[in-house]
Amino acid sequence: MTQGSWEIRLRVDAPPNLWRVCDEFGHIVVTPQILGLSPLGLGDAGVLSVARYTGIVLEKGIDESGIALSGAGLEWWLGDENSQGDILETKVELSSSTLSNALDNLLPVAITKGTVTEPAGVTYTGTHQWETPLDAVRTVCASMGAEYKVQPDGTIDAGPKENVYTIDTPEVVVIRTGYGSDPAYTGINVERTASWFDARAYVSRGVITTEDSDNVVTLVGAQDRTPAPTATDLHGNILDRVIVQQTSGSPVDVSTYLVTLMNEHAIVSNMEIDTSFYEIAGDMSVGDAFWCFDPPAFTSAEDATPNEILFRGSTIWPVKLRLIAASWPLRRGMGVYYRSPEATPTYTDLSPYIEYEDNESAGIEVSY
Amino acid sequence: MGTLTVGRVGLDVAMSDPAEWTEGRGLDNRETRIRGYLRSSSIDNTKALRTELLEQQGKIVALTYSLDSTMDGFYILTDVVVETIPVSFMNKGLFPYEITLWKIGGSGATEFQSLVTGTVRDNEHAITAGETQPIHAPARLHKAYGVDAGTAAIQDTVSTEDGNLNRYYLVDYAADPSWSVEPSNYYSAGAYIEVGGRLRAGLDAPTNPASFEVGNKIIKIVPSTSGSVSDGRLDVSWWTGAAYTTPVSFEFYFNANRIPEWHYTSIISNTPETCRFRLIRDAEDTNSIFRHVLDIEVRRGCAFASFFYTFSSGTGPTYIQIREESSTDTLLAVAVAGADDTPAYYHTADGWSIGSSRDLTAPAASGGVRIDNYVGDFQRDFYIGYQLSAGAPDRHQDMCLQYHGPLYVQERAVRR
Repeated sequence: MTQGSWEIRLRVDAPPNLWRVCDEFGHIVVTPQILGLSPLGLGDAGVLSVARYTGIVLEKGIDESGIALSGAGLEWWLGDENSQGDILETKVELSSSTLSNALDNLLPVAITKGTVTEPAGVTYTGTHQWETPLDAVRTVCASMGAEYKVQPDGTIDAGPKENVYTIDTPEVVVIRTGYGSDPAYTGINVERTASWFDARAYVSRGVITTEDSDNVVTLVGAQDRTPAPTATDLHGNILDRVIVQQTSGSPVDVSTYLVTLMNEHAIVSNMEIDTSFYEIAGDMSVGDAFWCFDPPAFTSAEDATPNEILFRGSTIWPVKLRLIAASWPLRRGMGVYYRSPEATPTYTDLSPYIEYEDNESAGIEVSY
Repeated sequence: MGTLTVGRVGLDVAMSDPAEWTEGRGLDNRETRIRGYLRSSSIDNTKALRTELLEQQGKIVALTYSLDSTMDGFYILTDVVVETIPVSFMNKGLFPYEITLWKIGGSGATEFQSLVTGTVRDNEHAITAGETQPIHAPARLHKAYGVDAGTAAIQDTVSTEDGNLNRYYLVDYAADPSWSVEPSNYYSAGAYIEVGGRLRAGLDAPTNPASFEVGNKIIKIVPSTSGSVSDGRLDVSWWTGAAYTTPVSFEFYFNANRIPEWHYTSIISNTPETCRFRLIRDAEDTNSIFRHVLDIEVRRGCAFASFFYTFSSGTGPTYIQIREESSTDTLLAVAVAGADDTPAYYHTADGWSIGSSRDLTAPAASGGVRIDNYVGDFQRDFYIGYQLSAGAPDRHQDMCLQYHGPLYVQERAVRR
């Protein structure tokens, strides 16, 4: 999962003192509905438990249009994409560790452990130092065939993807036409959709290496893609593209780690959808799977085991895609609060001052 | 005075001459603009023209004009503006309108591509993909039918209320047929929905469980009523060459309880190729958190209609039952193909049959057929058809195999 971001703009007639109230490293908490006169009637934990999104304020600006706030998602507390964060300065050595124990030793104080499901028959052995908890957690999860999800309340859930996300029994259907409600499924209305396949990052083999203090690079392990590619180059040679991953630790299950890595470098089926339906994390959270039927691009009718569902009076054969990114507008009626960064936080209701985006569509991007 | 048809608008309530017709051509422009007045023999008909014209926005429409057939063709209706003048309600209505269309082309310049997706329906009868009979029917009086790959289908002619229709069965799932047709024939023998006595062009229609009609000119489904209120039954009749059969009234049971009334209707899909219509009933007569949902699918050229029953609760019925009204006649059970001996459908000695992808039983005491098992978590499927003749593809067993080879068809019009 890559880091998300957010941006909100306050109306030009918003009280100017909100500039002083909303400070960096405070949090923006978005709830599906306005929480009445005093959100703290629910208590801090209560507000965070009903939040649809929580982000960190990292930037604020002011111009003729008013105050603008922006920042990143809560994963920022694990580390950012520049490998900056609460670095693991003390060496953490894990030997045949469970996922839960690994998280206990790697998580920063800003993110606490939530629901952890141990992957069956897999432990982790590795060493981590001078890297962010984000990089360490990603390595552990990739090695154990697990995934993680940072919740709006600042906890992290981890485990096999079927335990962390809705994978096995999607309840949402995306179909180019004929969308709508159904007793069995929720249909997403589609204002615009684009489907494409991208093979740019495709690799046929993965390799793990380590480098010692003498700059000697050693091969740790390798894994070929299954099924092997059959495409050839202009001269008839089978496609051979390799990704090299250098690690500081040494994941025990090299094949699991490399299979996970190669899954991220496969032919990616993408669909980009603009919808007015999407309600944040209501029926479809980032990471969840859902049914997508858009023949000829997305259909399982010709697969050995088609997925068959009955949806709105029709038999369709969708593919299961995962939501990998979503951008959604703030709509009137949502609650938007600033949570101050003190030990005993205070909440400031920004809802009356938000430049809502009622006429904009939500954009979601899915991948297979 | 001429008549104009814009898609289905003008097919039941006549649409009079336009006042102005503008064609534009440019490097990126194939725009047609038509202005006129919606007016008809009654204010209700004029309102119907307005509603259905608005509902066709965004669709491919066949356009014909009796005074200038050179303009007949296929267009995309991009924009619709209708001005309602309430003072005209006192007379028969007079609504100025303007529509903007993007011209695809006339009959010689337009090709329809039927994008076909399908495979064998998941079933409990061991019916395999090779045993199914996928069936596809383009518009009536189509020409230049062809497939770009796969095995060729078998052509058949079926009688419809609009005239003979050529259709194709044993269609290859991997083949996408293409064909052409005159605009005036595009909707002929197509699937259609009427609500409140009006032919509907789109999805927007009032809920009316006591007055609707779903059909394809071969099969026709209307509600059975008692005192102008739905009594939960559906009257189904079939065109057998010269007239429709006497309607057969089917009733539906949730366990041992007959559905006494449908409360709500909506149109799910409305194209000449396929129409889908939804009936909903509250689980209790007054407000309930659960619903019975019965979806009806009718496809062009098919002698059967597909039904999908869902009860919106995790604890659904033990079974659903479908039977001819008050009849406990013993039906004939037939297993079709495969290696499974359980019946795939039941039929009367002549006439109609009921089949399902799930195993069926026929309880002698209460009649009809019973479906115990679910599709997925809690959906049940079945079809009701009629043996139009004793030869393929009209027989009971053919319809069963056509039902088990469902096709999802998207029609697109492109310039040749």
